Amino acid sequence: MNTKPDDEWLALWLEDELDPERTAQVDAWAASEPEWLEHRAAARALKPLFNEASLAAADVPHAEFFNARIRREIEISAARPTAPATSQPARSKRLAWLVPLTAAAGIALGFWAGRGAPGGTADPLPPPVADLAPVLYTPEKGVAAEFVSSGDTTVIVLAGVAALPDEWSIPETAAEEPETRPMADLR
Amino acid sequence: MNLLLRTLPVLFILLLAFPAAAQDRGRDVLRQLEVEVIFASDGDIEAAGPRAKELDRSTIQQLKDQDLLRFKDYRLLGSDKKPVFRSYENWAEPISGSDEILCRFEVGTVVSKSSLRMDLELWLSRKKILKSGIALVDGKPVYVLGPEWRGGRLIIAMELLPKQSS
Repeated sequence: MNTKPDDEWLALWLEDELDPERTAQVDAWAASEPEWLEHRAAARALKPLFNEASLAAADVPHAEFFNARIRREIEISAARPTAPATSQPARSKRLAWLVPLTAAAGIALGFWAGRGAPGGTADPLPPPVADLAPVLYTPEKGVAAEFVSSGDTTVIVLAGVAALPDEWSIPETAAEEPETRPMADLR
Repeated sequence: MNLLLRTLPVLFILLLAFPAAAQDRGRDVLRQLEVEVIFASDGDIEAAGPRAKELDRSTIQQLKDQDLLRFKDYRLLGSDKKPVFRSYENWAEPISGSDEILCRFEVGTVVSKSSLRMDLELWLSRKKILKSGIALVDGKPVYVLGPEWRGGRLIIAMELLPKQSS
């Protein structure tokens, strides 16, 4: 071989992994390339070191190893004498009926607490003063609202509201009893 | 497993025994809100129409005590009283059979035994005109000096009442 082999061949040749026929061809070429012969010598020197280092990592236990350990643990566990069911302490058995009752009492207490104690008339804590200040908002353009408080009386003055048409009047039904709205009149 | 089987019947009986626990507390009625629409005029009060009613003297006096609400005469056009729920909104329709004046309300905060901070909305001609967050106290009405009508003004009075009030 007179021409330089491609990189793939050279890489395999350096690692001594090229097939014999091609190895002979590259050897023929490398005979006049001392630099490449040195590269291969260095690679051959390093190879045992790499193999040593990677040996431990490559030596992964076989899956059978784990299965065997699990099987052994099961066998040990099965062979160990277990306490018979009747060996439950007599005291816990006697009090077993308390468990569902305790659970029931807990749930009842939860319902009661959730709904608030019946007859609980305690005054709630007053909210912060800032929460008691009135807040007014007028979504309609041109409408303004002003809050005026005098003594016990509070007045909100609306300005810029369109007048109700004079044609509008109290409907005849207004004189009758207000209609009942089941959804709104729940008491 | 045995324990679970023993517990389940007890839980089932408990659920049957506490029907009140399954009720929605949000529907608890805290108060009532009374909304009145009053026609106030310095002119001809009879313009309110034949269905308008006389206003009681104490309310007239209360209105006349306020400079902003002082008019020559007043008439009651309509009123509505609706429950105030703990967590749900409600609507008052003071002019029964008309959606010209409506009031939507819901509780914001329970301030005390006799006071609630409410979210109140005033709807006129099917438009939301005013939205307010305001603390209402039992028996102390809030007045809204509203739109003009037939030469006078409409005053909307909103008052918190105890829930047993007739």
